[in-house]
Amino acid sequence: MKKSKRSEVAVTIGLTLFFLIFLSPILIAFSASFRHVDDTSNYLKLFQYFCLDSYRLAFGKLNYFRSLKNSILITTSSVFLLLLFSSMAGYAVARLKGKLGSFFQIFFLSGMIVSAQMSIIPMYRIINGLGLSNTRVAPVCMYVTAALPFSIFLYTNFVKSGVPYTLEEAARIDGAKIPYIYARIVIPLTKPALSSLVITQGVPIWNDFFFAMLFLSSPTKKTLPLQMLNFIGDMENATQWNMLFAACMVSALPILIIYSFLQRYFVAGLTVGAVKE
Amino acid sequence: MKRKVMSLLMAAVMTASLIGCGSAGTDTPDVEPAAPAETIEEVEETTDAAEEADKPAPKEVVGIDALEDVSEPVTLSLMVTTRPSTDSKDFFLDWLPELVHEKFPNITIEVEQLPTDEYKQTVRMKYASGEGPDLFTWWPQLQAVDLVEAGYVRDISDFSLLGKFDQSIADLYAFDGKNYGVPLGTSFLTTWYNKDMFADAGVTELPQNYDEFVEVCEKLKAKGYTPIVCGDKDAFVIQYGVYQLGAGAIYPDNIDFDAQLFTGETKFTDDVWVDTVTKFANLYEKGYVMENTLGISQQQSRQSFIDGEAAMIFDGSFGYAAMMAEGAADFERGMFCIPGNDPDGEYYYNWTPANALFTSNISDELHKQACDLVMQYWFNEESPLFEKWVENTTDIICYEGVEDPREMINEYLDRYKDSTNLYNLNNAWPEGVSDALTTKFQNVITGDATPEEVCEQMQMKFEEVTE
Amino acid sequence: MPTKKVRKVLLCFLIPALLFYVIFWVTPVLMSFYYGVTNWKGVGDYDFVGLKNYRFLIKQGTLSNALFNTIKYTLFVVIWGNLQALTLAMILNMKIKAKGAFRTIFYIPALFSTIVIAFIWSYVYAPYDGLLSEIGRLFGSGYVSNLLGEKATSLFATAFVETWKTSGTMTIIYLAGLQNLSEEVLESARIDGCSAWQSIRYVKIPMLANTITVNVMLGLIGGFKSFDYIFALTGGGPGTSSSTLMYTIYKMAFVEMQYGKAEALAACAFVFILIISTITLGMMKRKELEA
Repeated sequence: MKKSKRSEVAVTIGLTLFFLIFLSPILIAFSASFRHVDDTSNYLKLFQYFCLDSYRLAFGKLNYFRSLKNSILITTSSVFLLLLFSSMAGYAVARLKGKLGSFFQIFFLSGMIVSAQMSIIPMYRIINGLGLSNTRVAPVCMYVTAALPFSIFLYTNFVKSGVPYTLEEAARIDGAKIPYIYARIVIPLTKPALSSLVITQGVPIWNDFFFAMLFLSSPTKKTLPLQMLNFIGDMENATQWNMLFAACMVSALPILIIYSFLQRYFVAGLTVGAVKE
Repeated sequence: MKRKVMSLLMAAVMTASLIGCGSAGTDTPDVEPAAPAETIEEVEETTDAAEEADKPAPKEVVGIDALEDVSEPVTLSLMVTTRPSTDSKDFFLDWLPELVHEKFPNITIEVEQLPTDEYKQTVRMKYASGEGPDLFTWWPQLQAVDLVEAGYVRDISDFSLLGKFDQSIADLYAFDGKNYGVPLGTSFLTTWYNKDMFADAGVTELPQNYDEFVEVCEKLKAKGYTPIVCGDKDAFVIQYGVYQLGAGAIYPDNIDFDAQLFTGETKFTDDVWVDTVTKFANLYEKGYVMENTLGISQQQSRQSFIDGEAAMIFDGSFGYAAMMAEGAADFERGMFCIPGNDPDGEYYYNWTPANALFTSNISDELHKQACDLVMQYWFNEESPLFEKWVENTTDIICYEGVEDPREMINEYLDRYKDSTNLYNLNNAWPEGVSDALTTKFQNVITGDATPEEVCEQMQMKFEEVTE
Repeated sequence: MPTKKVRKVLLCFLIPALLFYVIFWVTPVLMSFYYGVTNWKGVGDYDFVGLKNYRFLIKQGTLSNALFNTIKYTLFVVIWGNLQALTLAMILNMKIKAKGAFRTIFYIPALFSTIVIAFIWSYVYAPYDGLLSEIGRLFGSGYVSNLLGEKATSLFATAFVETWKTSGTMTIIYLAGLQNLSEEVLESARIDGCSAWQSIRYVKIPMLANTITVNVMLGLIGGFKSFDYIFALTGGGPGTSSSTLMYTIYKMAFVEMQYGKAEALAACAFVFILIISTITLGMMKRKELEA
C-alpha cells in the first residue's frame, strides 16, 4: 500500500510538471494579452504588465456579443443536426447487415478523404445555387456534412461493439418498432459516443472560420472565429498580436466555461457508461 | 529616360490581355491599356490637352450639399483586406459606413474584410457567381485585367472627381482608355535605418551604388552591429529587398524588360536578373543579415529593428507607424532605397501605386446610383469623410492639393525626385511569379539553391502561367 | 438477420445524412475532378486540356514533393500522436486523486482555434527570443532554435504542433476505450500474475484494437489533410520543404490562380488518400479480428 501511495505522489508531481510545460504556450498568450497593445518585446516575461487595452479593443472589434450569438446559434444547430443525422445513419449502417451495410459504411467513410480546400469553388457554387449564400444555414450545412463521415464511422463502431443486438431483438419480439428502439435503447446506450462527438466535432465547428469565411459576408452574421480573421495582417497592415491574443482569450472563454461545466457530465458518462455490460 | 518606365508596364498589360484573349470562347471585348506612359512625378507636364479631348467631357463637380440621397433604403457591400489597426476607429470599417449613413440615411454600408490571399480569391469567386461586392479595393495593372475583361467592374471614366487625382496614377487602373479605379494613393519600398548606428560606424553618406552599400554593411559589421534584419519566415518580405535592388540593376539598360518577357525577348534567367538575385544573396552570404531569419516573422523583425538589434530593415512607407513606434532602444530613424546599380550605373528607386477603389458593374441601378453618391461624397474635399480619409490612410494620397502629413515621407520623395522611379516589379508579372521568387529564395538562404536556380524557377513559373 | 421491413426503415434512417452528404460533399468533389482537366483560372472561360495538368504536376515535381511531405507529416502525426495519447490515457486512467483536474486541463489546447495555437508556437520556435532558445540559454548552451526555418525540421516541427493540439482529443477517445475494458479480464490478468507492462501489452492493447483503429484513422486523415498549421507556421517553406498536398492545392488555387491544376492535384490527393486509407483500414480490421 505504501509503495502505491508513493508512486501516486510521484505520478502526480510528474503530471503537474508535464502539464505546466504542456500548457506553457497558452500561458504565454494569456500573459501577452495583458500587455500594452504595442509591446511585443520578450513574451517570456510572464505577467509583468497588467493592462486591459488589448481586451477593450478586441472586445469592440470582435463585436463580441453579436458574434457570440451567431457562434452559439450556428454551433448548436450544427451539432444538433450532426448528432441526429449521424446517429440515425450510423445505427442504420451498423444494423444493415450484408453488402448494403458495408457499402454505405465505405461510402460515408470515403468522405473523410475529402478536405474543404479541394473543392472550394464548387461548394460555393452549390450553396449559391440553393440560394443559401450569406445565410447562417450555409455554414451549418457544411459543418454537418464535413463532420458526417467521421461521426458515422465512430457511431457505427460504437453501436456494433456497445449495443447488444440481443437487447434489440428482445425489444422487437415485444413488438417495438425500429424508431422506438433507436430512441429508447440505442440512443441511451450510445451516450458516450454522442458526447464524444459533441467534443470532437463540436469544438472544431466552434473554432472553424473556413466555411464561415466562404459563406458569411455580412458583418452581422459573422461568428467569433471569423471575426478573428480581422486581426491578421498582410504586407501593408501588420498583425497586432497582443490584441489578437486578447481576442483569442475572449473568443475561447465561452467554450472554456461550457467545457468546465460539461466535463463532469462527460466523465460520469464515460465511467458509468452505458457501454459496459 | 524617365518616360520609359511606364511604357514597359503598359506594354506588359497589353501583351497579357492579348494572351488572355487567346483562350476559346472569350466574347468580351479586347482590353487595351491606356496610352499615357510617365513616371509619377511628371504628371502635370504630360497631361496634355489632346488626350483630354479624346475623353467624354467630365460631369460637373457637384457640391456635397447638392448630393441627394437615393430614393429607397439600400445596403452596399464593401470589401477590403484586413485592417488590424489598434486605432479604436478605422477608416474603412468605421468612419466610412458611419459618415455615409449620416449623410445619406438610405445608404447602409456593410464592410467585409479578409486576409489578402483569401480576399483575392473571394472577390473573384463572388463575381464569378454573379454577386460581387458593390465597392472594393484592388491592385493595379495586370492584377486587375481579369476582372475588367470579364466585365465585372464599372467604367468610371466620367466620374467628375477623377480629374482631381494624379493622372499618371489613375491611368494605372485604366484599360482600353477607360478608367476603372479611383486611385487611393501610392507607397514605396524602402530601407529603414538606424541613424545612430550609422553615425557610430562612421557612415556619413548614404550609399549611391551597390558597392557603397556593401561597404556600409561592412563598416556596421566591423563595429559589432548586425547590419540587416529580415522577417524571411514571411516569404513576401524577400520582395522588399529584391525589388529595391532590381530597380537599379535591371531597368536602366532596358526599361522594357518586363514587357519583353511576354514576347520572349527577355527572360528572368538573363544576366541582369541573376545579378540582382546574386547581389541580394550576397548580403546573406557575407553575414550582413542576421542569422536564422527564416525563423523570424515580419512582425518580429520590425520589433527587432526598433529594439535596436539591427541597423537596417527592408520595409516600406506603409510600415511607417510600426517603424516609428517606440522600442527598447531610442534612436533616430532614416530611410533610403538600396542602390542596385553599379558605380557607373544609374540610381533607380521604388515608388508604386497602392490600391484603387473599384465598383461593381453587375449590380442593379439603385446600387450603382448609391455607389456614385458614396464616391461623390468621399472624394470631395469639402466632406468630413474626405477629411477622415486623409487623416487615417497609410497611403500617400495623390489628390490635388493634399500633402502627406508625414514629414519623413515628403522629405524622402523630395530627395529622390530627380531619379527615376519604378513600381513594385511584380505589378508587371502574372500572379505566381513573385511567389516563385520568394519561395525559391528561401532555399538560397538555407544554402540549398543558387541565384541562377531562383531565376530559372521564376522563368518556369512565368511560362507556366502565361502559356 | 433484419427483416425486409426493418431494412426499409433502416434505409429511411439514412436519408437525411445521405442528402447532405451527396449534395454538399460528393457533388463538389465530382465537379472538382471535372475542373481538373481544364485550364480554368477561377474566373472567365476555360478550355479542356486533357491530362496536361497531370503531366505538368509530375514533370515539375510538384506532385512528388507534396506527396512525400504529406507522407512524412502523416507518419509523424500517427505514430507520435498515438504513442503520446495512449501513454497519457493510461496514466490518466490510473487511480490518482488529481486525475479529474488533469483530465480537464489536458483538453484545453484543443479548445483554442488553430490560428492562435500557430502563433504561440511560432514564438516557442523563434530563434533568439523563443521558448526553446531561452531554455537552451538556461542550460548555458548557445543553442539557437530555428526549427521552422530549416528544411530538415520545419515539417516535423509543424507536425508536432498538430499532435500537441490533437492530443487532448485522441486521449479522450483512448480514455473512453480504456474505461470500456472489462474489469473482470483485467482482474484475472492481475491474478494470473501479469506485470503492468504485460497487462498493457497482452491485455489492454489488444482489447483496445477498435479504439486504436479510430485514433490511427483520425491521425491518418488529420495528417493527409494537414493544412492549418502549415499555412500559419511555415507557409510551406522554407522553399517547398513543408508544402503538403492540401497546402499546395490551396496555394495553386488561391495564390497562383491556377484552379484547373489545383483540382488535378486534388484528384491525385483523393486517389492517394483513398488507397492508403483502404490498405490501413484493412490491416487494422484484420488485427482487430485477430485480437
